[in-house]
Amino acid sequence: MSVVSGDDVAIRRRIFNSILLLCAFVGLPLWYATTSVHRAELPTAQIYSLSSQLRSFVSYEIPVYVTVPATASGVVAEAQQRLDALLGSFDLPISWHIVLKPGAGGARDYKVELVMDGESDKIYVSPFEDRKIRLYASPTVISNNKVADLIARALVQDVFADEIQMFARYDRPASAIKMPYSPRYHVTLSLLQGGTDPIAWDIEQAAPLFENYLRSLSPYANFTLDSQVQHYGKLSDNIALRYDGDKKAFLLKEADTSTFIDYSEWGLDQNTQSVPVINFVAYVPASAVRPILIENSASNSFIVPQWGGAAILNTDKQVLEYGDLLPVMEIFASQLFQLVGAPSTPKSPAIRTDILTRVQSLQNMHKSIDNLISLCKLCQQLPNISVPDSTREQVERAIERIMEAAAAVKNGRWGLASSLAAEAYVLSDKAFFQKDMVQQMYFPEEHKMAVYTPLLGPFATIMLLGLIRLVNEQRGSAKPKQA
Amino acid sequence: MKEFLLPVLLLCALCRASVQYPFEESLEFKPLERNNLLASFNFRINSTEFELYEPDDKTFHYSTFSKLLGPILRETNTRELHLRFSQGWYDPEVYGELPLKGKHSGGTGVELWALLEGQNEESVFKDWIKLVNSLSGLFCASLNFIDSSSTTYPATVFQPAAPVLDQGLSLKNDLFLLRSALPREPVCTENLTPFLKLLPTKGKAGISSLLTGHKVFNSQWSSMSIDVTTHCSGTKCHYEMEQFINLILDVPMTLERNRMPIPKPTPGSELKCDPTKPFDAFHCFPLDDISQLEFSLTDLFGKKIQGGALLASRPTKVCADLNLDSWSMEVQTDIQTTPTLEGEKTCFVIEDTNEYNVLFKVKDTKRIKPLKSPPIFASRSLSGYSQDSGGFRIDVKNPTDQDSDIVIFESIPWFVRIYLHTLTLTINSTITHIVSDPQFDQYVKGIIYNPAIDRQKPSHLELLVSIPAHTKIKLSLEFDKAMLLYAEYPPDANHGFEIEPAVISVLDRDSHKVVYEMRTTTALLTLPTPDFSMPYNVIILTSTVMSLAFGSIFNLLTKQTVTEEEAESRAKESRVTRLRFTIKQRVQRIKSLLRRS
Repeated sequence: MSVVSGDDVAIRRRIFNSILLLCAFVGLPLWYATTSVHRAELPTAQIYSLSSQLRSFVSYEIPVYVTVPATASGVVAEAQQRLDALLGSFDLPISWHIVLKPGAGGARDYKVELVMDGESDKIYVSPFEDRKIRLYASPTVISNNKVADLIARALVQDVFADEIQMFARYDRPASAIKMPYSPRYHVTLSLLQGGTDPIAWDIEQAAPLFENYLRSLSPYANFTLDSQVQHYGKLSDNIALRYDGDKKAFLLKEADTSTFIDYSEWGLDQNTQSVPVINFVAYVPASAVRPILIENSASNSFIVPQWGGAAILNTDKQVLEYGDLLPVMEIFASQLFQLVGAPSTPKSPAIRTDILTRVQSLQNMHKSIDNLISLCKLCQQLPNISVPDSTREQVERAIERIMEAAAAVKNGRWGLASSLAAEAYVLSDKAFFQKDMVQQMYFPEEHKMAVYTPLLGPFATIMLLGLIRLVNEQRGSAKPKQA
Repeated sequence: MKEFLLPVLLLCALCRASVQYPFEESLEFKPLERNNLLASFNFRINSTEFELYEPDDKTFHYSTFSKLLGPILRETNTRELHLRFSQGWYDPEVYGELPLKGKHSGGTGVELWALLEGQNEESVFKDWIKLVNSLSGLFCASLNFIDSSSTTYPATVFQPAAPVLDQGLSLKNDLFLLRSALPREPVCTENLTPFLKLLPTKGKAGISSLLTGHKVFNSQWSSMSIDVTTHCSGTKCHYEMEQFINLILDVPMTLERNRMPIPKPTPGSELKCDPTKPFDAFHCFPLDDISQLEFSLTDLFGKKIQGGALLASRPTKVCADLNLDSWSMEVQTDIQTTPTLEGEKTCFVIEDTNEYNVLFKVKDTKRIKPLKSPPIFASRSLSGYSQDSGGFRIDVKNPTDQDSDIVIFESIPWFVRIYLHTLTLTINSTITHIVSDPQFDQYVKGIIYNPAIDRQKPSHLELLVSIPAHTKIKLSLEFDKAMLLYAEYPPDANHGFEIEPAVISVLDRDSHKVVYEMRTTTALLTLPTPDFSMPYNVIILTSTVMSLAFGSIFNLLTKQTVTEEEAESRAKESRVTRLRFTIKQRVQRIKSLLRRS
């Protein structure tokens, strides 16, 4: 009888193998799953494809209603041809068209009214809500049959010139002045007295004027307004004012305007709300340094990039009345349009807001895709970072919103597109700045190995020794048979 | 919304040609015993008018009432807000009764209570969390740590100061009173700066120009308070804000610190020793006989008053409650100003932008106006020494000639599990009643108790106690200490856990309104604290046990089993046995060799 039967070894080998398999395919994955950080899978491929296809997704078609005298009925079709030819030369990154339609158009549509009896060619854009553009065509133009050309040129080179420019550069960084986009802004009007004398303003009367401007910007974002009066806003010592005897005024260098506002002492931008604040400051200098004039500034005002605007009010009045405030409110309104990045032409605030809204929708879509791509890159670069399910949900919702916004753009619903794109932007931002992701980032993987060595070490050793013994036995069981 | 300034402006046109805002400020000094001085800063601000229920996008115009606070209050539907920052220990035996009957002094740390309007408790609690988070950012305090586990809904104390309900206004929703305290919060300069920013003078003019962090917080005791109440007439409402800063300064110590910022021992030659006790070159009982002092505001605060608050509706007023026999007050400024006597107090007003300094000359600092004794003395201490249980002991003394009704308010964190059945009452250290005794009810007229829920709610206890005249009572209560989860321990857990002060309110016997309010000190409770490397130890130990079990089972399964004979026969063949056999043989050979020799 052999000392070690072959069957016995075979059974034990089978036991060993099953334990090994159990450890490898159940134990190890289980251990890994329970000790590793949770990483939800992000739709990376979808994000990248969206990024490459965004330009082809988005197409703008802007309807413009043209009213022409009955004598020039063929003009519209001709103007459309000219228009397409003109636009083609710009080589815009996305598809952007103006579609001319004959007819009167609704209240919110762009309307071109052709007036044939003008003395010379003129374009007049209504500054009111009606989006009316009046074209005066001189008799020479009419006689030369250039009316269609005039319409096309007026639209491309005048009314929508800034929009074309803005779309051409939509994926480049915005100007340094522009406030970062947010679906909500808060505007604060401050009256700041540089001295100790009490001062007051009739803001109750003047504020509605400013509210009108805010309302005209409402398709772009929601604005809320409040005002405050502050005293003791002493100029900081490092502002060098130069007294000019001729003008009898203190001159402030243009370069010094960047340090004019004393953020820490004046307490203007202390904000307890979660929305970005645009500050407008009407500064009344103390009587000792009055009047202050800013060099090269006709309106005596300046913009602080991404913060707000300021105007210097050289007055010794104790109560500023509506008449005093009117020019200040106009200055603030024009600063506001600059701060939100609205184009400077045409004169109609409604059309400027429309342009801004359209461009911002595309920029928001672009930025949210950028955010999502950054998120994907971050997840790839940091294998230890946890990706919670909420991030994935936000990413998916952001993608949905982008698609919906693109569809809304196609249907010409700019307002809806803007709000959807803004939502996508906010969602992508939230996904990127998810606080749960950062929490685990500094937990090193090496610690995990150190902590679990007492488990993994003995297991591995025992199995290894078992394996060696089994191999030995197999050899041993082979030998006696020969003997 | 009607222009609030208009009536003011009209009034101004009549009196003096200047804009005035609804703001008042005053400062009062009061000498206390042992060369202490109480400085009381008071600011009152009214907001512009508004309506309670207005859409979010309504434009609001702020003037003196801060734009920082307004939106927070509106967004969270807060109708009343009370915030207290205090530090130091108030010794009622030396300082007398609390300034303003304790109405504006908090317990050590930060205390907050507010009246919020809302549909139900849930929505109100959400607003409350929003409120504390906003205030946390505004005041640089850790108010954001307030959650449901530290919030109580007081029933008899902290009642609204100016109930909006009484003003004939129909509220859309119910009002809820919420309160919380952070006894661990160190009150410091960063809390004072935002406090001053809420003022229209921003600490640049008026009495607030005296307030600087390093002087305010060098005081013996300091308390800052903010109280915002809503007042309505018809549908028009406005906020009224009162800000108080009360400081108790030890005058000789402050002067000494100005002279020598780094404290050094008094040289022997300048030391005055008590002649009634033995003294020589090595022994000295220093005589505390500083009775003549001369100090000014610059000595106390390091600054002068930078002119009056010109935008205020009433000129800045500075008063002192002095015993004129030995104290005198002199105003130092560019124009001739003599303080006048107004009732009991010596006062003067500031109506220009000159700098003002006040010089106090004292012949005998011990001669002060008699201090009012507080209507109640109380203290709370912890008893017991074990790791798992302990007790509270509250001593209350009524020194007055009348019986008094008091309410003891306690909010105890959930990890202190109090047992109400252990509540016992001892009168004048002689008679003891337990809570089930019928006599107990003679003294303790009412108990409001909301037991704690682990990690969600603190214990809330309010005891209505009636104390006979000239009587001392002792209330004691036992508790168990709960174990916390690993992550629940704060940093430096071995320092202990602060239990917020008990609030003791003296009620008027007829109207049941609070007439005096005081707080005990914070109690520092040590909880069983684990070693924080514990989770790693647990993982390692468990892993070891698991691998031990695995090892034995694995060996059992994979090792060959043989009979005893087989084992022996195989053992004979093995190399080890052979080796042992040869060694044995060698040893025996050596042994026999040794024996032969």
